[in-house]
Amino acid sequence: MKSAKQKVFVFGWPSFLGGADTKLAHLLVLLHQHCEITVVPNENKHLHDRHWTKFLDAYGIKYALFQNLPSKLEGFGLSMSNQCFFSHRIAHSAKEKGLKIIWSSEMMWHHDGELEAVKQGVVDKALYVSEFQKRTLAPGYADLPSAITGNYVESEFFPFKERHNANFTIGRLSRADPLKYPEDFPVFYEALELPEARFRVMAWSDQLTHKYRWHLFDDRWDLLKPEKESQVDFLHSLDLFVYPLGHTFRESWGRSTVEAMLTGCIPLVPSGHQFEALMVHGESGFICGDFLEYRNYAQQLFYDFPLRTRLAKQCREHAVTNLCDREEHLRVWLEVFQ
Amino acid sequence: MKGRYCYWSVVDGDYAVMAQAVVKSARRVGVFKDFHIWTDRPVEGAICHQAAKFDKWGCLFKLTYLRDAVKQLNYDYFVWLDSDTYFVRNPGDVLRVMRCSPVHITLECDLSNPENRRPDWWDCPNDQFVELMRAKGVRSKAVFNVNGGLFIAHHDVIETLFNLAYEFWTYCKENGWTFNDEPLLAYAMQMLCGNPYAHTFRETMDLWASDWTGRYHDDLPDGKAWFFSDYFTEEKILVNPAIVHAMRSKSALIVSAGA
Repeated sequence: MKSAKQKVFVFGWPSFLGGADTKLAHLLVLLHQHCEITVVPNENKHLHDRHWTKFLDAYGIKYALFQNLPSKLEGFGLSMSNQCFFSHRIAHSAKEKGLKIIWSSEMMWHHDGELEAVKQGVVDKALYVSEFQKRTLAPGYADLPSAITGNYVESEFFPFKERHNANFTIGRLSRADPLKYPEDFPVFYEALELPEARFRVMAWSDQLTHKYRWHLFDDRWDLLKPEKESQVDFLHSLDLFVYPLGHTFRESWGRSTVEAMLTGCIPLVPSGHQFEALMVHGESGFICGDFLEYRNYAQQLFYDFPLRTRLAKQCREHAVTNLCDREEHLRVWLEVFQ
Repeated sequence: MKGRYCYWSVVDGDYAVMAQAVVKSARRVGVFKDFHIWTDRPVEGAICHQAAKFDKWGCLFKLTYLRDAVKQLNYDYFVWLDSDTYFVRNPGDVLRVMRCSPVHITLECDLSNPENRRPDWWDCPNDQFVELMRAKGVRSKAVFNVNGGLFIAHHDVIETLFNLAYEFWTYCKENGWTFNDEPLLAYAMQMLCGNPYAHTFRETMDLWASDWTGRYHDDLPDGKAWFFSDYFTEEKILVNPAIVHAMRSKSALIVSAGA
């Protein structure tokens, strides 16, 4: 008997490093009971990654290399921010096998070969994470069918914790992309003038060390390599998620910010991105323009523990209720596969 | 031993003569830091380097010398001085104005201040200049102008500083504005300093100020307090900086050099 579930081939591999791959991990959890999913990694090495094969096994999700798939397929081929999907013509081959191709850039730019593939009719549907992202990318897609699917975060993966850190701690979690960091990042943190505060960053890299080679990172700083700690442990160590961004970078959504909110870490983020859609300023985070706004809010939260405690809970509540509603995300995603 | 900082400048002709006055004034008040001067003639008391012929337009040579020559020197920080500068007392630790920033240049006036009487900076209307700065990532509510007479850069930020300045120069040129060193330094400073409000004129005026109105016209600063005039609002502020950018004292500096 033919399965009623849609067949979805996901081109990529889950990870807890980087927004798109983390998104994929959570998306698989969301969809596994409703779709017949096969994850197709770019490289063979992923199939030996016990952590993630066990994860997929636990949810009954299949995985296979592209060359081991049948010559004819039916269903959907989904890929999100996978650099190789177009440049290695995986999308083209998947289309030839009979899949309807669904693509999500996840970024504020088009990937190598993406627009050419769209012009060639390889892509059947484009997905956006936000209206903000859509305004930037849509002109390149012309009349391609599209949907805004947002960014599902499985809230149970990021439990709330009431903070009692010995030292007030601020920090950030993001890809170690130098463009995501403002030119003055370490001075910016230190100039917030938070007494005895600690500064924690994950994921740090040699490139970032080079970028800020003029700064003396003293013992207030923990600069952690990617995945040095679990995301949850790391976020639990922070009181505030202070997330200034580089001047050429635009955040399409802000996944790590929502993850922080779920754990009760209060975000202070820049205006001019997508953050207005993720929080209510003053109630579940702070959207800042001027440096003095960052400093005033950070100091207010430092000195007023009851306020901090209340806002931490509100961050969690806001994220769970407004951003991570499982049923709503499921409805949106199942519509994509119609 | 690696010095924490040195002063530096690039001069020729009369400016080289004035540089002699700068060094003499510094020594007179007990400043014995190294002065590295790229010059076409000897400057006593300074470590002199032969200045190649340089294009003076817009003072952009400050940035190219910084990147190509000064960076080769073994100091943590470099303090640029225009050659029409005069020390009236020992400034103490000049690096106190860094406040952890890798760059310092005094942020003088807020170009977005509605009280401004001067409508433009280097012929660019204030609101357009603010737009240019915001478009290239300056986030603070106040957008400041600077005077290029003194700036300090950490050795390891020079490449970034130069690149930011060049990025801004290119962007402005594409938008019809060809700027000299000051708007470029103002941009790079506000991108790199963390908290711009820690580097304003009022926060740092004990170290350095520019006598652009000519309080000491054809005369040398004497270490007494004087009124600085805000370039945009014309507000008068009583100052007594250790280092004076004696812009209107050039003839007196030349005389002083030979005295």
